[in-house]
Amino acid sequence: MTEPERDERIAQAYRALGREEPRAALDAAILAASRRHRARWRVPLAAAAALTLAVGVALVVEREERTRTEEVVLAPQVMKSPAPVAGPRGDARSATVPAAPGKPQVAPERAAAAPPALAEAKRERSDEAGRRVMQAAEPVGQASAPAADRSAPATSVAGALSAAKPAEEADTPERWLERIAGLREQGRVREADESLAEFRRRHPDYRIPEPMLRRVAPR
Amino acid sequence: MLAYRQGDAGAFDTLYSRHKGPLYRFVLRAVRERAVAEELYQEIWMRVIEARGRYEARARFTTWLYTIAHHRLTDHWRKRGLKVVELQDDDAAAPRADDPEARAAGREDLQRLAQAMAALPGLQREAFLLHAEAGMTVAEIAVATGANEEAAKSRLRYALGKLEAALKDD
Repeated sequence: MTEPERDERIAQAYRALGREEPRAALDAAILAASRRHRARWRVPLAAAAALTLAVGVALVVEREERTRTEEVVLAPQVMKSPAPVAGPRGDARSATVPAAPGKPQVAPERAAAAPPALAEAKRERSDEAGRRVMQAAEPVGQASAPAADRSAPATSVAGALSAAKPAEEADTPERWLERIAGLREQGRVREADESLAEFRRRHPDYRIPEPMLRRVAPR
Repeated sequence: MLAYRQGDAGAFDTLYSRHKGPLYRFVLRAVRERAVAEELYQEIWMRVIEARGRYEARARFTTWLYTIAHHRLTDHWRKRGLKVVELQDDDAAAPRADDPEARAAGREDLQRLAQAMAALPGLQREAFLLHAEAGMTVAEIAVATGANEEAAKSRLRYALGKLEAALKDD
């Protein structure tokens, strides 16, 4: 494609028209908007990072817990075999289960006592796991705090994560436009206008084909 | 723009300072009302900011920026009842006949050009401004305005022809 010849006289006269610049206040408003938007972006990212880390830690703790539970379940079986009982009779059991006075210590009792001990052990580990998750999450929370301070309270993080995406944002531009055209055909002018305005915001550089433009544009 | 998209804090400031003058003059000379131009100019940048995550380096940033500007101007003209093809006398961008600076400098060319620009049909004026202000080629004008290259070339050629004729009209 050959370019039209550039007339130097036109170029010169055009330059002489002046070099207007936006007002400083306008510059400041736009640059501030860019910074605000950047801060808004960071909060969900930091929250997502914190969540990923917390889930990761929880999975590790859960895996560890399962391993330990298996050890605890195995322990009574180990106690049944005579070989490991090296100390005085009943020592091993008294460490976890208080002896019932006047009752003979028999194997079934030991088996019955095991579940409360197991529950106790689980509870302790669960508390420990909770503490560890909190500890792991805290530094991340602190790291994300400055970003949150700049734009939104911490509660908005959860909101940002849980907020459902509007259906139209998940749509392809073509399907979105079809829906707007449908609204126009149904005479739902205001909804169509608002949806089209939102479409323009979401896809500012999308070129709407002329036939579709005729269907979606305000009449 | 890619750096800005990836979170580079200073990238937007750099982009903005590079493009603010040409874009502002493009909008101002397209709509020729300062207040409207400022509003549109701000909206265009807001759309750039909002759309940064969707920017793909398929075209120059300049082309992308002016595509957004073109869409915003089209919406504006559409809202005003397709004044895109009307000729208007209002002239914020053009110097008035009694502008002492222009008169003192004897810049008749300047006034003629401003008047001729104001008289151009909107699409031709847009093509000329994209060429003169943003330094765009015909192919880039075509992309930014959603036209085919033949149409873009024709608009630019008509615009240049009319402006040239106005300047030669001694």
